[in-house]
Amino acid sequence: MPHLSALRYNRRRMAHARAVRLGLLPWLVGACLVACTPSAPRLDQEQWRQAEAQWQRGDPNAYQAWRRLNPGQPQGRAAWVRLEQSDLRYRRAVDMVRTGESGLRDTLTQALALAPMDPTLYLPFARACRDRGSLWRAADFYRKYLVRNPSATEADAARAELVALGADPDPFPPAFDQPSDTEAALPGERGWWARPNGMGDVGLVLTGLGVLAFLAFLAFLGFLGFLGFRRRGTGSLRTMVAERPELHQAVAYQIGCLRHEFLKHRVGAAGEALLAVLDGKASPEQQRFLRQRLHEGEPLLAAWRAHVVALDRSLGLGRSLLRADQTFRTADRALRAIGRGHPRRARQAFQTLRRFDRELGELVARLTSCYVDEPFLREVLASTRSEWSSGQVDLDEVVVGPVPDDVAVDVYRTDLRIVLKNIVRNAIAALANSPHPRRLGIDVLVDTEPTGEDVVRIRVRDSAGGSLADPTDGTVDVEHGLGIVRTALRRYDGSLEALPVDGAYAKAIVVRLFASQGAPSRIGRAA
Amino acid sequence: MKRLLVIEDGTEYAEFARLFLGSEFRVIAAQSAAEAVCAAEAEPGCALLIDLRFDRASQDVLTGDLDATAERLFAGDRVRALRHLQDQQGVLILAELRKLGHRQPAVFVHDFPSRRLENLRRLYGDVRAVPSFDAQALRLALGGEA
Repeated sequence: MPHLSALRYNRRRMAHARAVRLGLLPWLVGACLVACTPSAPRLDQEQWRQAEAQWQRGDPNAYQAWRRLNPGQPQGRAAWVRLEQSDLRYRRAVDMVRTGESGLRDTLTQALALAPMDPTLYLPFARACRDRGSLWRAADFYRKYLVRNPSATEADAARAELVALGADPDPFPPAFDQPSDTEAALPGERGWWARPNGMGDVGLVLTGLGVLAFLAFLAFLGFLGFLGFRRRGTGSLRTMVAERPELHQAVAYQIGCLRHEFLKHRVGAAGEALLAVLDGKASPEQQRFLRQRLHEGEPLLAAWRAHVVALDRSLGLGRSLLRADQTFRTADRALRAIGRGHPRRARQAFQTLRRFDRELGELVARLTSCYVDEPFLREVLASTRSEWSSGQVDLDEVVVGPVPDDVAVDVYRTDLRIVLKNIVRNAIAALANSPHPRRLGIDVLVDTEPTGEDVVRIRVRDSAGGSLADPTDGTVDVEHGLGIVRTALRRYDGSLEALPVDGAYAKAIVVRLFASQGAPSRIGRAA
Repeated sequence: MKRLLVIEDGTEYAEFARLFLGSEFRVIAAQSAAEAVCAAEAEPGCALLIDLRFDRASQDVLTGDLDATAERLFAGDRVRALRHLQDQQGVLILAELRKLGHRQPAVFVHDFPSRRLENLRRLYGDVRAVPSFDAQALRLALGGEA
């Protein structure tokens, strides 16, 4: 699902650009002059401006600020109507996450354009994501809920559910958007621009002038940034996926479609015929073939742009990659050159598109790979043992390995960590009720399928007895523990099995994943 | 004239081969494992051009053990196993042909990562791949040494 903060960011960025285009400075001057002349009838407007400003800068307290607006006043009434309209859409979005229904991004975009979200909705969002197997996103929403609703009735349940995901024990890591110092310092109903106690009118005017100068400076910087933005474009696709791992799956899927359906079957096949035509050597059949590929069905440019729009949407972009990314701009120009049929340029364009295809392939190959090596498995084990309940269990033997060299899977490291922590935690819980010697082992097997694909099996073995099919023995709690893991694995084309094993162990929980085909060899890199 | 057995679930590969490789190869088309085996038996030694994905093929014409695949890879999920068989059908057809002793070069239009291509060569001998529909590259792959 789209990332709410990304959508907010895009909305704010577009609003910023619009404001700059419309002349931000005069507007700000006017706004500040009005703000510096306090009077009782303008209280509603001032409160509204403060609430609006909180929302625009993504302040976690924006929703409460909107709710405090007086519905008896015109601005407050309008704000309350927008809150109600957006609330319907936010709740609809929760249902869409839950059911997997399409249109989620549009619904959220509409809601975010109207008003801030009720922070209690982070919890249903978190639960819906968890049930859909989006564990990383679920953990993110749980944390946002807890940051904004630390004392809510359901906060304890949310904390327990967050821990059950196997997420980091610290519910408020700095990486997540805790209110900043400024935001945390907001004193109840007062914004930081509210008149401080005891400040006179002269002080207020001076403060206003200071604010005016500061805002003018910001507007100037924004204008410079806007110029740079227009000249260079925003981050390339490569930069965006490097900065936002939560987009990897959607990007990989959309690029896969673009490469297979368009660049391979449409352009790739047509390119050969095009060259023959340009050389004047095309047979009538080849000319017909070219016409079919380029002109029949959906027009070539329309098909290309439909793929790019799908990619834009999966990235939550307000500004298309056709403008923001140099390689996409080049590919677009190449396609238009092919359409114009200039011999030399069309030939170059065809080569450009082949290069573009290769670059996309290389990009996707590096998106989600996670190396499964002994240090990673030891880190999972140590992290699980650092939890209070798992740390209390006395284990007689813990073995990590063997792990074959250079094994990578196409899974986010965070998700694989959550999956394995859940399994290890369950195994330790089962061992707590078992007689000594209590043994725990984690190893990795790699087999090659008849399709040439390598399959990775990560085995968590333990010596605890009990039926594999009995969900009450604390080991294979399919509904509440491994059910989540299973759902998460399915997203990565993986699976989970519980198997009896011989020897020192009683059973094994096996995570099966296809090995990454695109991850660069670490052995090769080392050499 | 050399012969080329094109194995795919549609007609695009064969159409391309006839248009751009037709001067060197007589193209024979097959749209399933069964048809490929018949054609290979009838035309021994012909080069192989194979599509990897058989998205449009129905379950009854696919080769590969659905239940065993579901059990081995997808914890018994037959729907995912069926999709897997479709996605990898070209390689599975090649496996059938190799079992029957057909050792001729096999070419895929697919950008296999090097590790996967190594595996395929280890399993099935002379396997080559070109990343896109490039007649010259295909000509080289079908006629030259790997």
